Amino acid sequence: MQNKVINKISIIGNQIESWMSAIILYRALEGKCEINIIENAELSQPAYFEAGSFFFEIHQRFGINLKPVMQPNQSQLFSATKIKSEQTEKWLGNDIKLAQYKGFELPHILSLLTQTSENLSLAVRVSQAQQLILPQQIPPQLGRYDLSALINGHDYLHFLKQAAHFVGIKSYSAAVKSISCNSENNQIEQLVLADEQVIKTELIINTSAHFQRAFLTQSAQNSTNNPANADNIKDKFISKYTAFAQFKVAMSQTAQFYKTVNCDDCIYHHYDFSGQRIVSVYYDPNAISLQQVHQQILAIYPNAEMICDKASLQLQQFESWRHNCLNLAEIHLDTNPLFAASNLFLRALMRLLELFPNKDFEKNNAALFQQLLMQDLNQYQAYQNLFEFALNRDSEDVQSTNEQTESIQLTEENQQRIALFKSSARLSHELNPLIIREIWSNLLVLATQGHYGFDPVLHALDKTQITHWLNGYKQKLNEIKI
Amino acid sequence: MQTKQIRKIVIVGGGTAGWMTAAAFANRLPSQFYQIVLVESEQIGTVGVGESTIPHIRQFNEVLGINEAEFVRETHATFKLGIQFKNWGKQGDSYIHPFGEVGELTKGIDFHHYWLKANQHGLTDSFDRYSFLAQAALEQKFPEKKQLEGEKFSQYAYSYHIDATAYARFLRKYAEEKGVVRVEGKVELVKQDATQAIESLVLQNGESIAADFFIDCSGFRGLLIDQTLNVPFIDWSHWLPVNSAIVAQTELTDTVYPMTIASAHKAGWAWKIPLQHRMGNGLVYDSDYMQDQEAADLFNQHLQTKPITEPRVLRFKTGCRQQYWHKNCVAIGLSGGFLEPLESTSIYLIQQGIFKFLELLPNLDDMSAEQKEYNQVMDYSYQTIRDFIILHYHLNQKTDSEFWLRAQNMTIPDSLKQRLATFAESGRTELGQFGVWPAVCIGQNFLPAQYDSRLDWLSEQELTHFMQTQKQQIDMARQHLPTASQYIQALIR
Repeated sequence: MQNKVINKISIIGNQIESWMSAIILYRALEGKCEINIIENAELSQPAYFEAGSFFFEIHQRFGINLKPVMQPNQSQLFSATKIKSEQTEKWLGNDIKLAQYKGFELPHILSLLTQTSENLSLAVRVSQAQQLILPQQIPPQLGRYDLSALINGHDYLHFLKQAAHFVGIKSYSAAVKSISCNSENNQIEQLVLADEQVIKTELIINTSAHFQRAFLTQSAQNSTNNPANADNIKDKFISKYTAFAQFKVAMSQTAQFYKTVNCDDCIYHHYDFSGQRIVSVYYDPNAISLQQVHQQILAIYPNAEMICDKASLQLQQFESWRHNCLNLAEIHLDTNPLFAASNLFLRALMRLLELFPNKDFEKNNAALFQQLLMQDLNQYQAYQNLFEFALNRDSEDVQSTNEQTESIQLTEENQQRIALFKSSARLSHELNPLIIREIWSNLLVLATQGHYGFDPVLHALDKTQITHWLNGYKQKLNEIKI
Repeated sequence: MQTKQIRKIVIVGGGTAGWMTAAAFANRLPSQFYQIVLVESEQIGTVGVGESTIPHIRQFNEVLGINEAEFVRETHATFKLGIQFKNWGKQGDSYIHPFGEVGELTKGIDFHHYWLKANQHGLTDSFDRYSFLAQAALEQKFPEKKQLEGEKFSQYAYSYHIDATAYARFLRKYAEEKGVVRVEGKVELVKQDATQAIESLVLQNGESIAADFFIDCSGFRGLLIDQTLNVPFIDWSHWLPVNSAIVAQTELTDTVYPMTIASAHKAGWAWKIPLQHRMGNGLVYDSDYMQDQEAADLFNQHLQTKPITEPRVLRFKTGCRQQYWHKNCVAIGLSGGFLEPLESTSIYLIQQGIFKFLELLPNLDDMSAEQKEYNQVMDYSYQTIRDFIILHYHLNQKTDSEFWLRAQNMTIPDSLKQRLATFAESGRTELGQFGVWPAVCIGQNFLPAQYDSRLDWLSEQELTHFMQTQKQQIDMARQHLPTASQYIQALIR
């Protein structure tokens, strides 16, 4: 059999994700593949980016020691999000295991005892303690939570670049000027750079919006050869917050172990650590311009300095594989105020390793990749949809039976999620989900404004004993020092 | 929030499905709050589904707190490590579909890719030579947990061959001890309310039994789901056309393998299932391609030992309900759907129906969200298993039988087509595909066109060493295992 292994990979883009891909692929492929980075320098780097637990897991899996970028002045760990609107302040925890009484999870107990207005999330309580508490320091019967992190993007990028150069990954600081394709299979064989250098390639991983617009989108629209490998995304990508800007605004006195989300026309993230406050703004570019966003920030923080801006790619179709090019630009350019997009990107990278192609770039393999990626994207968007719905419900009639707010249309899938949760606090089970059920559960508590049901079997249990258990749980939570 | 609760559940039918349901409900639903009644009639026989099971049954028993030794003793169970398929690819072929993956994921690449590359370089070992469980089964051995503690193969899966009637009896005792009320009687009339929900059952003796919720375990008849609620049956017999079976029990053979044996014949297949005290035998066939008499003759040839019971013929149609949960009724077991016993999934589907219902136990006010969720999950399960069973038929290479040629050439479901095409192309499978696809596909000579190309970075010498190490580890581990019979005797002593 002819040897079909891919030996040359080109990663296009100058983003953190581009370099992260290079290092992870280098480690996963044990250095047996030549990896080049072509830095299409069209985007500014976010000074800080959010990483979920999956980010840490993957780095650990491939033996990438993050210690140099996880020093207290470079990163901030948190386990919950504080959501502030004009009327309310709510908390959303990164719980990954909820406390249980005889197999019934906490939300069921709170609903039974009509105490749903109280947020007893362990992750939230730990966040509010205003000091770093590691999950292993907490007794397991109280539950488990994940730590997310805000990482200094410049430091992490520097770390990645150093590591890449150390292992021999080559980088080219020039944009792609043209491509040359094989006339038989349409695979891109060569990249010609602006400085006339020619890079031979067998697999391209694209993280660059510029490259996508210039070389991929147009050909994809003209493509009819593989309709199974493209999904209409126009109707699926439903969030209005498709643009993002980041500002360094002020000195902050204290570190906080949560992030704050302020809701208005835009969604604002506040992170405070290491003497700085970072504000990330997610906004609807059809309703407000970047300049207006900047002015709004300046009105509050006169010394604010904009450090990054980006907008999601607005495409009609999403096609992950185009011949020998894996297009991940949409994924890392997507903006989501609640969920670390790095998780989504890393899941895609892990799928690439699971379904690593050969030089034929088999179409069913590509279709399976696309299918799995779309499952993740759909979940990611569904979570965003439910989050925006939850935010909008703040000002509405809490007893409303109509699940549609004025401005947010719930997806059908989310309507079923809410219906099931309202009926009995249950959630659907999914195999290897992007977002685990406990995280959904916390969001559903917000989305239903605490008006949800419980497992009816609880009626059969002794309420006094359940109350006693809950009081004990609360007491233990209170022992977590605030 | 004031809600109307289910307080009384009636189960119709007392076969394996009925008593599994009753036992699991009694275990989960406190008797001071929930009343569980099972109606069965001795006049109506049971099919006695699923003498062969898959490992999930252990979870069912564990949840119910059933002691394994007692269970094995009472149900005359033997242990099972997989299924041996004979004559499925071509006449004379044989392979084992073991529980659990063959080989292990190494450097992010599934073991079957290593085997494929080695095979292309002249390796003559069969794929199941690299399955610890398959090798143990072929030697009639059974792994002892203690012996393997901390070792590579310590986390193995197994299940049982059971006497299904004895299992139902065993669970009946369990359920009645936990407060389930058994009512002997034949249902003559089912009364519905204005919304068409079931209100009560009227028995032949005039007794009326009302309830809030009804579980239809009445078997193929579908007394509630079909005859009362008229939920349509989706026919899958164009994909799985076998529609008849002859079954009989025989005396035990000398060699008792810890696996089910499924041998293909010209218009279907035949099974052999060893229990502690007897063999279970069956011959499944498509009556369009084999007459009953011919099937009976073939069945007699298939029997290796003296019959204990008279052969009986069963008729069935493969398919499932359009909805498993409709109104205030859930169909569990054969009333919900039927898939032939090729992969021993009948009890698993019963178990799934029970657990999913308990997980979604509704309030009476509005059950629509739970109902929708339940129907979606069960639909997915039935379809996934259906596809896996079709795969066995579709991948045959026989040229001398109309039945098998038809299976080769038939149009298969799109869901299976896609998975098969992906496996054919690159040997990839996705999470949630039922069964061990590489074992079945490779066992039936359906090899992917390409192994994972990253293995080209491995030299031939390195690959040979890797494969030899895998084999040696299996041989070392199986060396001192007890025989399956010894293991059972020690367990039930």
